Amino acid sequence: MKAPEKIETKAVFFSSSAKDLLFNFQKNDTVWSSKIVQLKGVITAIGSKGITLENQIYCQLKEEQDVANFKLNTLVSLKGRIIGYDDVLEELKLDQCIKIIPTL
Amino acid sequence: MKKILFLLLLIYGTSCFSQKYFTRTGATDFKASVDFFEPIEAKNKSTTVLLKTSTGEIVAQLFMTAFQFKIGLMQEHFNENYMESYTYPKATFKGKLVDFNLSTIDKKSNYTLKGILTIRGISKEITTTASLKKDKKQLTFKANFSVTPKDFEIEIPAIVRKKIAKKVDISLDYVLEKKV
Repeated sequence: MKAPEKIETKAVFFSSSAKDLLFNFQKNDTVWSSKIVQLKGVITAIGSKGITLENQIYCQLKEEQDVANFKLNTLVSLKGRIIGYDDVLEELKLDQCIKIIPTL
Repeated sequence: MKKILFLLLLIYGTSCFSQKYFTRTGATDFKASVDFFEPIEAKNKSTTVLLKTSTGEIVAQLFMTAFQFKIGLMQEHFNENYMESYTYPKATFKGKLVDFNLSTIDKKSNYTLKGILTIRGISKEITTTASLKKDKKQLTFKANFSVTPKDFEIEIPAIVRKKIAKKVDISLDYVLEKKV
């Protein structure tokens, strides 16, 4: 019985800036569910379990990742999975996010 | 006079800006296991919850594909065959903690939770008891309830019917923070 595939080895579906993802998501929001993306963007908020990019993308970190490794108002590269648009908080939501070093 | 005006403003201010508590990473678990068979359970640690403390109104939303199973194939079947997660990506709950009062939460921690749970576009009324605890900046919300696959028109093929419980237990464990 195999465990679900890990984010680290999954192929990236879309790699660009966080703003570019927002632009493309707004154009067509139907193709993004569960897609693996690699994003570069500015960290605009840091929570206990995740960070926010460009005020509009919440990236929940994979469990072993530490929010202490992220600095507010700096550029970061992340790989993560899109779970969907959260209309309660009006933001795009990602989970299983891992930091990509160096920032590409 | 200035003092009274200030006081009035203060009272007005606190009643006007209704407080909200929220999380983006609440844990919603379900179990549909039957003894002696492979456990059927999954965790969703990405539940968004918003509680308006002035009224006790609560909204919770989760994405089906964010349920994590221990077995990859089970996760695939859950999303593709049973929940049709690509057609119905979200489950939502909209309800109310009856008679909720944040200022007396130290004395009363159990509240009746009433609301509408929507899964696969089908709504069902849920009534259960939720426990709430305030701890400095955080508000911990816990509740359990059960549903059946039938409630949401989920068909279980005869071949696996014995392995999936008729009653699915759902547990909620949300740590809410004050929303600024």
